[in-house]
Amino acid sequence: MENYIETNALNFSFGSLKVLNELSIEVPSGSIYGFLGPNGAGKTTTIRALLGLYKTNGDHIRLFGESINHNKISILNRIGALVESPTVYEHLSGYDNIEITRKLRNLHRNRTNEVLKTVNLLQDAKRPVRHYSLGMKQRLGLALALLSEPELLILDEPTNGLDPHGIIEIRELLLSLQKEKGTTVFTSSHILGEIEKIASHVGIINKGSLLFQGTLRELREIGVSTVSIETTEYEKGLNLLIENNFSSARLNKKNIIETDVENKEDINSIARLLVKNDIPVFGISNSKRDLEQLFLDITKVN
Amino acid sequence: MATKIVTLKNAIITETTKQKRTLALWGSIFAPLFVVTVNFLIFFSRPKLLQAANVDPWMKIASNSVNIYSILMLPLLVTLVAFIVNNVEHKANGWKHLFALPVNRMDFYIAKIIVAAGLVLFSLFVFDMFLILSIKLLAVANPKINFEKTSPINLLFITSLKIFLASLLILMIQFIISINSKNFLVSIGIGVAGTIGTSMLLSWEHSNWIPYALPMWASQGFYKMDYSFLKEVIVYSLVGSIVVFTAGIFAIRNKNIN
Repeated sequence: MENYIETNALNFSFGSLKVLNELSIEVPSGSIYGFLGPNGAGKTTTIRALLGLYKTNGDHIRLFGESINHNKISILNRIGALVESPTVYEHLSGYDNIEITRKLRNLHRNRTNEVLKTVNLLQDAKRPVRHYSLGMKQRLGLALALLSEPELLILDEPTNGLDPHGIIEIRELLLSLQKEKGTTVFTSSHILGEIEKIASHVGIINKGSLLFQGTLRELREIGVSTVSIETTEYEKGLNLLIENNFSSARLNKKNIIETDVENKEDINSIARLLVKNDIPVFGISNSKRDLEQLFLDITKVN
Repeated sequence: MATKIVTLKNAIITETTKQKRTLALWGSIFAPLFVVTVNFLIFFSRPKLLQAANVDPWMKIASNSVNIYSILMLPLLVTLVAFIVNNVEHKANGWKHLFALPVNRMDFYIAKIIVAAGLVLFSLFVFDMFLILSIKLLAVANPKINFEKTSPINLLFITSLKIFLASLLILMIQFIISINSKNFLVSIGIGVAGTIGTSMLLSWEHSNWIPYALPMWASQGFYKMDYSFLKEVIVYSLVGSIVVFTAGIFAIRNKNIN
């Protein structure tokens, strides 16, 4: 599988302030890549650099295998993008707004109505955009990105300002584009729940550094989970575990022992240890931290 | 090459679309209308100004209007147009969208300059038409005024073209300022200060070097009945425009777009 986006140890600074630090991301073609990070992590800077809006040196950024600094126009021809707040000329109608980009991209005139229909704005197309709601403007911005039926969509927080119904619509739209047209989607968000529902791949960024990159499944599998052990001899059990390198072992309010484990082998060791030392075990269960917690932990530690 | 021309053409068309219903278009109609109307009212209410033996009424009215238009109104209009053509992007978060399209940054830069220059040229054409119309109206309203002496319509159009060429340097300067600053006060403030400051300095012996004075110097050809184009003022404006234009290319090419 070819990578549609590849950055190789990308650095970027505003004066002395370093915003991106050795960032290496890989977005496989056909994937929906969720680019996650808290506000101010460097997501928008990355997107601006990918699109050539920020000047970078050398060939650290490659799209479709080509350097953005050498083949910018041919690369941008294959991309549709929505960067931060949408570009809307408020004094013009929604239709005119789309027409401007359609003409600049030299596309067939049918595309304007098609894309307005896709984002559900056909009925309001003739109204001046200054009368649009925030969500309608956002959808207009998305229509601009979809206009050229691009192979790669780069979207910066595309669900900003949308109501729950609108969010679901966008989600379904992106999923169907990927499934039916094979569109590769690179979408940023600071909300994990949103990415979790659509992404096949995830990159997590904080303070300009990439903290995790892989499939959604890999993200779920990494990190520790918690094992709870129910026993009448909890104090003895607790000491035993601490003595045997499970230093995170603790008692909860219900006198149930909890300890963090890194893999299934650890759970097996715990069970053996308890049984071998004649500690009665009435229950043993394993609970994964939810993704939300994992995301918070990943971005907090660093 | 062919695709490049198509892209530039499309960029010019879309820039024109963006100017629909903006103050730039209305300004280039109302600015000349205002000057011509005020002058009409002056001469309509005081026809004696035109009836002295040594006065050529056509030249008198036209010179008066051309003078005021080139000293004050045109530089202010150029300032306004340069601001609006760029501010339409600042307001719409447009730069980042445009510069992420498969279109060269230069095409937008050139297209915007062409549209702005087109509006300025249009305003001068509107000015000429209104002026001719106002003189015809005055002739009907007051048959005692003798307009038979001259009616140098060709000279008027040629002078307007010269004023246009002489205003290009102001346009380029204001353009660079307006691309880089979304602040209304900065762009308009510099233009207004340049125009008013210049009008105070016109008697200064080196005022022909002040960019904001160039349209006025070009307008002098009118009452001197000078038809020639290759005047120092115009050459200075054109060379200056090319220099500022080129500086703008480098600035835009390397700009980080927020």
